[in-house]
Amino acid sequence: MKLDATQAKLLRTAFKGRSRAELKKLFALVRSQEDRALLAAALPTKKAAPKRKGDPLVRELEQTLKPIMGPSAEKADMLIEHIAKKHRRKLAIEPKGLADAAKRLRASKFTDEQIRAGAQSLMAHLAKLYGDRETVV
Amino acid sequence: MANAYLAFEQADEDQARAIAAELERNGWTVTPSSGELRQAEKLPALVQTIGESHIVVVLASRASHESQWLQREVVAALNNGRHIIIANSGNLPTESWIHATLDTSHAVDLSQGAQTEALAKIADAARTAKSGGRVVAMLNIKGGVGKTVLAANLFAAAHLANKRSIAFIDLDPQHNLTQYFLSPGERHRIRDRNHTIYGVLNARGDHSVPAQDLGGIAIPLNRARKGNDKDANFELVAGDERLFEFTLDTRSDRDKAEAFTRFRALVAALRARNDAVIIDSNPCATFLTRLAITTADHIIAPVRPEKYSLTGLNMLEHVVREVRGRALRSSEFSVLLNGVNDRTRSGETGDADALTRGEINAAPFFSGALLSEEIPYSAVLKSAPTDRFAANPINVTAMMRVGGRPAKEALTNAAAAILRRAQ
Repeated sequence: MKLDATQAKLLRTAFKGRSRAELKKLFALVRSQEDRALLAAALPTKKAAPKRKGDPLVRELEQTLKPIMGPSAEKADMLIEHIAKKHRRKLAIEPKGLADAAKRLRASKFTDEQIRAGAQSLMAHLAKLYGDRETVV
Repeated sequence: MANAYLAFEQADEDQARAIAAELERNGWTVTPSSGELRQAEKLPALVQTIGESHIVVVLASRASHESQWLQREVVAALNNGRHIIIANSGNLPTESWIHATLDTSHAVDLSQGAQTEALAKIADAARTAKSGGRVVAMLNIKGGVGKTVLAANLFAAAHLANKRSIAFIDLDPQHNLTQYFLSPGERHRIRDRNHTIYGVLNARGDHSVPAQDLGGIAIPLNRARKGNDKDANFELVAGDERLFEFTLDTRSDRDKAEAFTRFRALVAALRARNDAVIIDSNPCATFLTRLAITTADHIIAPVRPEKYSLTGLNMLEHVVREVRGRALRSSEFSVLLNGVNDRTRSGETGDADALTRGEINAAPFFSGALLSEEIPYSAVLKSAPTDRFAANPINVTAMMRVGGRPAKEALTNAAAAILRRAQ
């Protein structure tokens, strides 16, 4: 079977710079193996996604409270205040950031679910207070 | 040394002498009314003298009520934003123009003569007037030079970096400064309560704020509960689109006169508790511009590196001269170059309308006012993203946002330089 010009060009590009002996070895190898094994050997291995460190609750809180502009300590303050109001509890907590807030809320016997719900309800509350958009008259 | 101008009539000379002596004892240099300056051809010199005084003491009496010269002196003091202390000799007619023009409710009573206690009250009032914060107006007759965004960011930098207490007054009917800091929802609530500058300027009607509450309508802009700056004020008297009524001829002279008095009272209340009161003005010459010019101790004119800005500056100088009745001294004025980059700095833009620092320096009047500090073009000096909440309004400013370090440094340095010049 004869190769057409495009196929010949493709081969020349792929095996450019190889000696005749090397090429013969490669052809034999390709004939003896399956595509899957050849591809696995030829393509670079996929990097496994790095395992994320830290507390998943804190990551979730960061994502939920992302639309609030300001430093993490201010967001944490608002979250504590909101949860305290929602659960009618006095919380003498002055968190340094969201991670600290999550840690100290857990220590105050709040479940992760309650903290998560608190963050979502804080966002709903803020949207009601500050969420209006400018409109064209 | 601080200067005081003492406006009185010949009939009250004894009391005037006692007041002057008391003020001089307290370290003031007193310029009393005199026939030397009270001459038609010397009116500009009289206005200049009053404009350069820190305070004006008006001795109110029947004689001063009838004096045209004392009236001119009071007008010059008002047009130049001078703090006025009134000493009432007791025989001032109730229908006097002095009652109508000035707030005489805090006048020092001299009906029993210039007694030690009354004189001490005048000296106290003078000391209080001198110790208050400075009033700085952001002005340029040309629009789009960055007055509003610079006002917010320069003085946020002064507040955050140098712990300065700052109050803003949004005197622009477009109220962009208010929009910059506050969300629409919060603005609507403030407007419903009439806690905007519109409520201040209206002396009567449903929208008016009671005179005793004027200082209480400012909205806190730094709501952080922690940090060293929490004790310093950062507040705003919100703007309102209904202010446009004062830019048209729909308001009577009486309304405007009352608005003028109430605006002065608001500024006095804010001055008493802040290091600086910043007035963001509209880019044209209207009654609102007059309010800003007459109350300002210092004017900042931001300019973009383009020649049209220079036209705005020239016009501003004319307008201020017209309002104050005297030429502006370069120490009362700062020109701040805004939005410069390497190309505009070197003048290599190739644009015919490019304006360089050298060209401003070559202009005789502005050279002394041009600040060496300048604000570089920066993406952080833009409005906050609309899809985010600023429950603490100061967080929308460049100083609180990520990145833009050169701009933040430039803002801090420029704000410090302006507040030094305004002293």
